[in-house]
Amino acid sequence: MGLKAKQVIIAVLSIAILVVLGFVVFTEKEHILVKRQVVVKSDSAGCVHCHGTEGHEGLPGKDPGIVAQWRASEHAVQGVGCMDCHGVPKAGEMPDEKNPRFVVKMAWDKNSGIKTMTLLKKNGKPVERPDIWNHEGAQIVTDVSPRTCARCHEKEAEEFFNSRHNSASQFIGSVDNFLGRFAEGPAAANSGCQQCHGSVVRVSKPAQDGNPPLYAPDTWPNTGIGRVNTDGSWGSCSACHSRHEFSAQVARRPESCGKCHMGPDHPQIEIFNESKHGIAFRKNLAHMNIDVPGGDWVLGKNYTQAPTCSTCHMGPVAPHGNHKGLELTHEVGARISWTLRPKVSIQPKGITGKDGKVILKGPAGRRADMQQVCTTCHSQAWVNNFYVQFDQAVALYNNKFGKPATAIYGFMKKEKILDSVPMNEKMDFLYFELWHHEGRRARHGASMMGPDYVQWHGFYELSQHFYTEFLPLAQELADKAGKGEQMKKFIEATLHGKGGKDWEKYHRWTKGLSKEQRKAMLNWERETYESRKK
Amino acid sequence: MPTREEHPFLRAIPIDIEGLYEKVDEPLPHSSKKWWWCWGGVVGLLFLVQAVTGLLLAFYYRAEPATAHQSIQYITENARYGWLIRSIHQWGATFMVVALFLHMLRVFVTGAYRDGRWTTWVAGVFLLGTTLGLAFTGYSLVYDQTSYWAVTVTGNILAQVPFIGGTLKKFFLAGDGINQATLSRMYALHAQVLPAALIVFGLLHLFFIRLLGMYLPGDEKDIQEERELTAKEGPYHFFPDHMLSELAVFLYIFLVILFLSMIFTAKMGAPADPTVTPAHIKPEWYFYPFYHLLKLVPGTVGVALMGIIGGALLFWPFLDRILFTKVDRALKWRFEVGILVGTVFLAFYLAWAYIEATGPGA
Repeated sequence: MGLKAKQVIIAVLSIAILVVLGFVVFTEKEHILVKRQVVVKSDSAGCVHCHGTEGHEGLPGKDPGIVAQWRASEHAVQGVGCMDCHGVPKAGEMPDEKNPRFVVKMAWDKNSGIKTMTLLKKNGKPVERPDIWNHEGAQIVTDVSPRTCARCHEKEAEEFFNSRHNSASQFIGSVDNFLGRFAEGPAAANSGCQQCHGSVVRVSKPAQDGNPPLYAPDTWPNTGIGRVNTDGSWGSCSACHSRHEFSAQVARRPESCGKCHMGPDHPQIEIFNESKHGIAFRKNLAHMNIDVPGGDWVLGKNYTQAPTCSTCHMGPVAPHGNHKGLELTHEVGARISWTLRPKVSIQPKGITGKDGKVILKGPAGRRADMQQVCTTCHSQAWVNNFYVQFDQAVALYNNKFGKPATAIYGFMKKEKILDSVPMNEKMDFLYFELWHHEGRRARHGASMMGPDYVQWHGFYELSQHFYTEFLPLAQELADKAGKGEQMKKFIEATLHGKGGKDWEKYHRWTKGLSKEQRKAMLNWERETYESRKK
Repeated sequence: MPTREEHPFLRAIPIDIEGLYEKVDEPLPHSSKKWWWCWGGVVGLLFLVQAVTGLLLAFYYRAEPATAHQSIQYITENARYGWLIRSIHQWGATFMVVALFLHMLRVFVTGAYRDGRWTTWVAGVFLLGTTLGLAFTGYSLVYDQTSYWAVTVTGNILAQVPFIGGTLKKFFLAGDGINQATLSRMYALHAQVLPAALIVFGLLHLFFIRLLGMYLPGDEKDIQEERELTAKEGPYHFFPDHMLSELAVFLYIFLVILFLSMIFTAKMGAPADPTVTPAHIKPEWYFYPFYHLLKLVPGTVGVALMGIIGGALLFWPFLDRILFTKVDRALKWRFEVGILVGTVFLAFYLAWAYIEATGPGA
């Protein structure tokens, strides 16, 4: 082949390469844009302009951080703009009971567990929420409630609606609430309790002349998970999903739960950190694909190295063995078979809707679901024995400390050895800490395999305070009230009576045990483990 | 070739172009006009592509276990043209190995290492080893599950080498097992040591070609024909004649690489996880024979067999002289038949490699 022919071939090939590279340059533009294209819809363009970095009329942007966070969100890519959440739908755009423009009334029948949400009406007309205001030609609200999220995330919103998270603010009247609001003071409740449990958001000054409404500062800002919103609904999705990025990924991280589930009364995050699960999580985080999109983070498929809080309590689980797998749930109690919160733990009953639909399974069903999570990484026999240990620890707390302390405290109230005012005496605090602090730490520690919280932070302190402070103080107060003999008999009957109650055996040691009695005690303890296993 | 006086552009360059041309120009035999004689040059040009794309990738790559996978993900998904550069680098490596094989096939079937040209062959075998080393270390830098475990397995294979296995493994992994320093070592090998070695062996290879001249294939009759043609037409020039042929083949291959890079962009697996051993740990396609050999025989035997194969390849010119020269000449072992057999073998090998790569454990 001659030189000319070769030069022609080279020229043709060079042109072809340039054409291909030109095509790449063209598609690269598309490639980059398609990969992460923030969609600013026309109704939100003004918001992004003024509140973002660009600013308006020569002024700097008002809240560049908010807009930057939104730009980083999946919402921004999916075309969910400011007005989709903060805009208020017009009347008639959707059924009134679903329209966050109108106020709803929540009801919670604690016996059946069923919650209902009905449209609030006045003179036969739905009531508009008080915080709507006209802003730059649009009707908007600041407080975005789960009813707004439900417009797209219906299943998640329904699960959350049925959960205890959703009703976390409904503890008004409880001793915790009284303690925070009165014994400690209102600011403690507002900046403390309510920031986790949720406030009842109030509008102190309605919108006027284009100015925004003012939310009462004792109720707002607030991202407590059971917040009562100005549309009457309960709950706050941003408690876990953190506005304005609204990330599934952030909700998966234990730190999110740890904002509230920590401290002396329910140190779940500390227990998790102490447990093998927490150790494995920190070691393996880089390999856990924790940043995959929402709903796709499936245990047994995307990761197996370690669980987070959401893995066990909410996360989807891939089928394995004889198990069919689990779907993601926003009912955070759906796999919990003991409630470890109250003075005496109980197994929560199931909830069945009026239409016969199972809203929440009973304790056996919930436990079976949790065991599906466990058996992804542990054998069934291992899991069974773990639950025996857990049940035994709960039974120990209930029978040895929870029930007797509650009975004795109740006796003191009944006999007026204590006055009717809650949390004004040392005995109130002693009893409160027995169940609310130490008792919970022991139970939560057992549930999440944090040994130090079961023992030193749990049963050790329970034992110390129960035997050396609670019982002596009860007797002392009764003596002062002239009811010493009655109290002595009541304590004796409660701890050492022959009522056939399990806890009677637990307190025999206080009177001294012979070698044979010690052996018999340990044998009995072993038998209870075996019988529980059966 | 225009003279310095004839061309204003050449006049502007303060270099003795004619002198340089005389030095660069190599009178070649007319037999090397065939396209098959271009593969050696194509390997060199593909190395340039690898060097340029590798340099661009190095702008973003972070050779730390915690960041390596992320940085490659960033290159692939976020950096402008990153996906293309990485894909060209990956496909370029594949075609460099293919071109190298085709070059060696031509040299092998024409017996071009004969008549004292063993030094050129040995330098070429070192080039092959260095290229495969580059391919392997490049694969390990992705730091996904397969590349991580491929390094682990290779370390274990090296440990099987008699007497020095332990030391070799330690040197290779920068310790007894994969650790923080292993990735840095792979990166240093891939981006510094091996490219330098490739340049050194490449220059040696060229030096021996210039020193010893190119081989005239065929029997006495063919050689006589070649002499007559040279006497009649003059020699066939390296520049520009042969260089343009090489450039044409290279551009064609580069076009194919571009298309493949656009259609089959470079992928990456799950990040390396020392706690999860994959069911199948497969190397890149050019190591499949060794991969299967090691599955069939115990490690030490496999290493010994690989050593024997490598040694036979390195000393082939001597083995050839002992075993085949007379037989070969008598059988008139011709270029066309050899190339046909070699190409069919390569096609089958590539088909098998494709099935293997997309099959279980891929």
